[in-house]
Amino acid sequence: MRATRGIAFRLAVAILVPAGLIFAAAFGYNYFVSRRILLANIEENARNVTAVTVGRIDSVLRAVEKVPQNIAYALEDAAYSRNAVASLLRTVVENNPEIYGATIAFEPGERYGDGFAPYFYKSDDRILSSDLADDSYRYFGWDWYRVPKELGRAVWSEPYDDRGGGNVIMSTYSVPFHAREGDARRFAGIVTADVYLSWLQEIVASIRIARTGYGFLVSRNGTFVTHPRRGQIMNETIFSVAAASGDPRLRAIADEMVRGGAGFAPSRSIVTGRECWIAYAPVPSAGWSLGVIFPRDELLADVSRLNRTVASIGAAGIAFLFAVVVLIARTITKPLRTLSRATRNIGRGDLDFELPAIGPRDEVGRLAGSFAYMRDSLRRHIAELTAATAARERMESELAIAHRIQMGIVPKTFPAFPARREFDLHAVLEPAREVGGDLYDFFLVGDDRLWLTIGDVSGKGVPAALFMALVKTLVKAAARGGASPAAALEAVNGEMAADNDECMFVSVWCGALETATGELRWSSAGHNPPVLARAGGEVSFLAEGGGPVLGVVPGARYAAASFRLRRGDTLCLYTDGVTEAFNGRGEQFSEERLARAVAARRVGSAREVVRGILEDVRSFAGRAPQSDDITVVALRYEGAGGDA
Amino acid sequence: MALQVAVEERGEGAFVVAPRGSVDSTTYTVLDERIGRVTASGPRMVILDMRDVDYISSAGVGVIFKARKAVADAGGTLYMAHLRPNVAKVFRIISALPDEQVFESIEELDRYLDRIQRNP
Repeated sequence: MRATRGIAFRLAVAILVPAGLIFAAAFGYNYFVSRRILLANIEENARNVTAVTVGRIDSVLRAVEKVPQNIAYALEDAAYSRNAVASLLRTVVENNPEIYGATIAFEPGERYGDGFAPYFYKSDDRILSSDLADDSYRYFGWDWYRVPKELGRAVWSEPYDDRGGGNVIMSTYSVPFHAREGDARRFAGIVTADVYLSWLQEIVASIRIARTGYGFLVSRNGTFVTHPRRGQIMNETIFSVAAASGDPRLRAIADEMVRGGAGFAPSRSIVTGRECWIAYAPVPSAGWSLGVIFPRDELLADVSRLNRTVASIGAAGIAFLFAVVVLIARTITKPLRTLSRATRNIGRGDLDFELPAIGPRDEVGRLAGSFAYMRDSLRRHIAELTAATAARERMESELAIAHRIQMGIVPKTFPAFPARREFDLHAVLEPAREVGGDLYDFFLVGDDRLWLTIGDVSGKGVPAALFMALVKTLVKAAARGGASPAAALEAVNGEMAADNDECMFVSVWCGALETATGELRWSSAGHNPPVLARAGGEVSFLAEGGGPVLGVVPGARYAAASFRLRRGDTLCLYTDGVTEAFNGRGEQFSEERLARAVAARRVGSAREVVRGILEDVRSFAGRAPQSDDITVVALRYEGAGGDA
Repeated sequence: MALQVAVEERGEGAFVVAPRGSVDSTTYTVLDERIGRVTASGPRMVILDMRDVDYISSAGVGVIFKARKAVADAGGTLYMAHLRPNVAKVFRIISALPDEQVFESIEELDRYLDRIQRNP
């Protein structure tokens, strides 16, 4: 399962991460650009809304301003009677619905003595009048009189609530007028008009931006003249709201508005407290400032919705892509998992499992094909190996049997002649392989002749073993027939050289001991000369005599030789496996070492001589493998009627 | 130990076969195969140059017997020259090769061949 996760995971990462990055880039760019366009539109819209609204307010105010201004002009040029002034005021108040009241306040000492200030105003449906020159009021000490007088120009007063509660908000427009004396102008008084501002609230209230976008108007000192919450009007200032919200941006906007600036800036809504933009612009005639709230989240709702939709489409697309990737990964890894299980089966030696059927056209299919090929090859190979092993085991068991048979051919019971005191005999044959080409034999011919044979067939293994059995049989047959060693060799050579195309040959040494006398007649067919150790310590090799090896020279003649064994003499026969035994340095055991080995053991029994020679050969060879069959036969002569 | 065999033709039907290494039970087939190719051509004379043979086992001797027989059957003669002492001893023990077929050196063999050709 880990492998599945591995490929699926890597595929998913390799595909989904770039796809996600591309989508995120497109999404981000789209969001950024659409938002920027929207913001530009909002700002444009904000400037338009404020400009239009300010224009409307200003035009109304300008129209209202005309009335007191015209009165002021008229007063400069002509002197009116007190009654004319009163009736002028009454007419003005009567005919201008937006004007609540009006007064003409003369500077004390100007035209009408110590002061003259008739005031006409609406009360229900009637026009009432009063005289502001009353001692208790002293109009020339009030702001509406003093400020325009000192500034020398017309002034709109701070709006005020005549009755409290913000129900009837008014502002007084005061225009100074002058008396002309030639070119000189002398301040003569103030014309005022008290103007209703309820229309102003209607104009501003008509501004609606989204759900919670409102307009509001503040006076020169920041007091709310209009506000969507009526309770705020005349009771709060934009500064107090800014302080309560704790937002420095709103405070900065408040400062700008009071200063008469125009702008569009992010802030916090004075109504909801949420993020918004505020557009603001001054009303030039009155010095007030209009603000419009543009609620940010509501205006961005469209673009937010759009972006949410795009993001959802993107997420769905990536989820789809993920599903596709996982599907592809599974189609790849499922056969791989099956192959993996199959491989474990091979590992356990089960070669009969079913390989998954996979279309041959893709890489996994080819892999499965390779697996099938590997499995078939393994199966075939194992079958061959099994067969070969079985054949080899059969051959080994046959060789083991052959070994036992061959060992059975040579006499191995020692002591061989427990009843004979004249001689002591011992022999050992150690094949280099299971079967070998060495042979030895001994037997009595009649009662007092001991026949000895030792031989070495060329080559090794089964052919040599077959040849060896043949030679032993032929020699024994000849010996039993009463032949001398030389005659026996001639007879056997004649038999063997006849049809010997492979030119196998055998070296044989034969000897016949007359047990009574110690006389030993012998002949050699190309065999290694035996070692004779005299009782006195003299060690010699029997002079090479006889003739060629058996089997290769048809009609060969073999010379006979003889000598006499004396009591205590030891004759040692061997094959070249002894003298040509190699040690690790490539040296041969040699006849010199053999002679020394025999000399060292000559006082012992035949068995001790044989064992001693084998020990010496083994210790000489060390770890070097035995390359040839080793055969040693020792004959110790104890003398006629031996008393050993 | 690997056995290398060099074969050189010295004039019409005369070959010099020079084995190099140890002719034992594991390598004798190499010599057998190379000499077999030479004897198959019915040579007049095959000279075994034995100067680089450091060991010969009975299996190797068998190859030489077989070669001698094959050459003799074709009416030719097999000679051996430059035998090392241990190899010479093997052949002496076996005593199956006539002395006239074994020479100290190829030069001695040449002189012998000269002599028998002048005094047939």
